[in-house]
Amino acid sequence: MKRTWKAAEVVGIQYDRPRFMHVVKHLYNDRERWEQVIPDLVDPSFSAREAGCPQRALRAGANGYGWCGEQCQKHVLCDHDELYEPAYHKELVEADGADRVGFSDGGWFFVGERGVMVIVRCVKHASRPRRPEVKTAYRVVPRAGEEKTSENFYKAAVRKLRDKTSWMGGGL
Amino acid sequence: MTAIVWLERAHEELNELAPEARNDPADAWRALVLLARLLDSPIGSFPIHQLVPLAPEWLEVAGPSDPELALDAVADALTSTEDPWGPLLDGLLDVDDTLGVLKFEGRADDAGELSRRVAALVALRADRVLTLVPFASMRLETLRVDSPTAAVWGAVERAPAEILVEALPPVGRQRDVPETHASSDVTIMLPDEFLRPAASSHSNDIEWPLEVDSPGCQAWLYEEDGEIQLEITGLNGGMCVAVIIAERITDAIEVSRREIKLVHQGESAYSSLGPKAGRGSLMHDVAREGGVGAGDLRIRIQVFYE
Repeated sequence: MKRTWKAAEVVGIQYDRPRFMHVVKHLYNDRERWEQVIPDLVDPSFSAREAGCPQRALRAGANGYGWCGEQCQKHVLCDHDELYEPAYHKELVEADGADRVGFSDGGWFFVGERGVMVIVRCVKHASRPRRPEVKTAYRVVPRAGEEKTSENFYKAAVRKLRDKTSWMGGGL
Repeated sequence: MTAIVWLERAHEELNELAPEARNDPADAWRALVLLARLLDSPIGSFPIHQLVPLAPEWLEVAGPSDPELALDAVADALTSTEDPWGPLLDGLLDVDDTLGVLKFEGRADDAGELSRRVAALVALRADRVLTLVPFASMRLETLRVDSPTAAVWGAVERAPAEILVEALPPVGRQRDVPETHASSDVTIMLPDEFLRPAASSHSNDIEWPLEVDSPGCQAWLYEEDGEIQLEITGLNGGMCVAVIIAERITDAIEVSRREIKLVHQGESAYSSLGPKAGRGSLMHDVAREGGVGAGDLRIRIQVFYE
């Protein structure tokens, strides 16, 4: 399947509720070790709790958005804009340049050099033309018992990329 | 593209990994997974039998499999609203991998148990795996029909049938559409203050989550370029009609309604409800047509499956 767009043209995750959900499920997930991707990142979920986010809201994913309080929403969405989105966008562009890309079921799968998996789909909203948008971005966590090194995160992501897209040909 | 391509890629990768897999737990696990895939396949012919004697050493290096962890990951991903080709498919692939390695470990009973439990979870959330059906169909071509792994992907492949059965009305009951609604239809309540701005990121969008009575469905309103957009996720893939209804708060009597057009895109359905207020605002038009003061009305959107 031929792509007519480059990674730099891809827009990020749309709307505040999905953005909130992706930050609490991924950036704040200790197991995903985003400090290996974002320099100087120190325990973002702790900072969110310090900023007033109830622990239950952070565990509730998208459902937490509606009742976590305005202060918490602002904090999490700021982390989205300042930390999460720039990080995954950088990985997306790097993956595109290295041709670490696969295609399956209308989606494009990118794996950046720091092991971030980014899924992009071309989406049409009511009043906008179709355009590529990020649907999710996360780090594939190595198995229990494997060292949580950057190299192992990268390997885990590349292997998932192959499993999900090699049946469509092309890619890795 | 075909299932045989998937297996050919697995074979190429296994040949690259095999010489050094004993040196690293991640590589040893991956080698076992790829070997299991190729041994279990009824299609293709791959020269791998010389690698089978290496499996015990790879098992030693990789460490034991963890079926409970694999099950938990799938259970968690099934309740999320994320793209199903993300962590959910990853979780199902991890289950697939685990089932392959359990065979090398001689834990057939554990494999059967894991397979049954995952298949049961998938059947409960068929809506979440619907878009994975093409992958499941491909994977099933590479599996023997009686394998535990086939049971998992078979549950995914049956998802459209599960959803259709769920949408059918109970036998013996006539359903009037759209005047009444069946239990599988979706009711979305619009709060009186839906126009109140929520905390927003730099996008300047105004967004409002909505109360939905159907499990697995979510909905929200957001403002875009001066128009109010409705987005619904989790509807099944069948034909449906959406209607915006104004009803009296005191006795829930419907006073007016308008059909709205839903546009389906991937997992979501969208509709433009016009500007926030004034001419062309669908919600305000419906409220006005009711002939009752706005403070005495509530607005809901009803989605009827046809």
